Amino acid sequence: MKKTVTANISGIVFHIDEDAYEKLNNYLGNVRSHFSNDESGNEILSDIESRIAEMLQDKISSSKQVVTIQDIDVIISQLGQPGQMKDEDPGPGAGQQKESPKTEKTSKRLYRDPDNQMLSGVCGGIGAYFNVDPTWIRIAFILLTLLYSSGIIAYIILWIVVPKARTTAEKLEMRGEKVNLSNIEKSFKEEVEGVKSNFDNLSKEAGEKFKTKKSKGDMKEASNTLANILGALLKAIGIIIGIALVLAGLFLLITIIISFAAPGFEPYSFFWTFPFWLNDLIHPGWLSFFAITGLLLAIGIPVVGLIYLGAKLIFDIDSKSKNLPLILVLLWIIGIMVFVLAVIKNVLLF
Amino acid sequence: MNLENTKAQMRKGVLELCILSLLAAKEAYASEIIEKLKAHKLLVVEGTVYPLLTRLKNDGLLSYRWEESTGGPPRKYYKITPLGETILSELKKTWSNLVESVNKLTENNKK
Repeated sequence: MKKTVTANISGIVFHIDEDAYEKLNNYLGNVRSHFSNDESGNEILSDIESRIAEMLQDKISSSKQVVTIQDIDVIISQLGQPGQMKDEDPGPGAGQQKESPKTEKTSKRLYRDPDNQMLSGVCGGIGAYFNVDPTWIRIAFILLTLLYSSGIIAYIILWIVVPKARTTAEKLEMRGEKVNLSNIEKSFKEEVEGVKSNFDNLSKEAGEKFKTKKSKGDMKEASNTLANILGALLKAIGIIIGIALVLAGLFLLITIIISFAAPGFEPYSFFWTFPFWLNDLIHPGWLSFFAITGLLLAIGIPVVGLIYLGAKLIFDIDSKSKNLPLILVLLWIIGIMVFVLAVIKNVLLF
Repeated sequence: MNLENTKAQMRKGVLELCILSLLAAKEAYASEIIEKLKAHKLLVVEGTVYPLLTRLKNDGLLSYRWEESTGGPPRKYYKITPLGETILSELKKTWSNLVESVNKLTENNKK
């Protein structure tokens, strides 16, 4: 006993043994992929399908209603393998070259690798092209950036010029693997596995983000490239500004701490004169403590704010506490008020 | 050298000419064309015919119309076009020249 399936071939219904169906389906898949580069490939395929339907009709009768694998074998041998079908003149001796391992090596093409991307997949694609771990390519780009930022420029140009590997065939081409059925199947399976594990990981965290990203990414790919580049540029500028802010902030903070803690410290004579000048106004005691603390807050908080802003720009933090800036501003105002009040109080004491 | 392959290449070259002259005589659908070609041992695998017919049609040498068939899938009946006729006569000339030359050459080599 065998399981059969019904199949619609060119509009005619056939009962086919399951194994026979598998074989026919495989064969038609081979034919389809063989003519996939041909613009009239679909037409050829449907012509062949209707021929198959005709041949199958000859094979079945009232006493034999089911198409068997033997029938399919006969049909396939009659029609021939897709490789024998191409009608273009393959040129002298081309038929024989096909068997040689030379043609096994298909030309590699440079693509951006969406499965292996940090920013745009440029490094991943180059890594795949040269069969090198993309991390080394990334390091090379970063090192190149030190040379008059040529790395960044080269990267952006590559980003614009190199297409993204979207289809499985393109991904195979990217890795220099031959585009044939078994490889596509293999790569597809890998992809499914990858997607599965991705989903497992993501569902634990935040599945929502992934979804929106995915659907958006595929739809507006082309127009997004420019936006992506601009975004990345802004990001880069932001990071540079951020670094500058943090450095400036740290420098100021250190200067303030040193000048307040050690008024006699030579390199910061400009600053230490400042508290000394205060000493003329403020008498030692609790009032001067208030005045100094107020001043520290008034000067220190903007500096801390500067560092905070810089860090935000560098690490792209979504500030979780919206209150932090508010608190800083309040503290700053309080600091100024305390300082001013203390100074006024001091002056009045005179 | 692959004998079967060379034979197939030779046949492939003249297949266009054969199909055009078949259709010049009478319009036909793919299976009829295949049967005739097979009867003259011009075909090894049938699959070759379909891309060829499609290309000839796309090049404007053939036209086709659909016809319902009893019980089977609808059939594509191919017909030669005026352009096809012109090209056919060219091909015929080339073919007879070729046969003559090849015959002469192979005969001469025998001697």
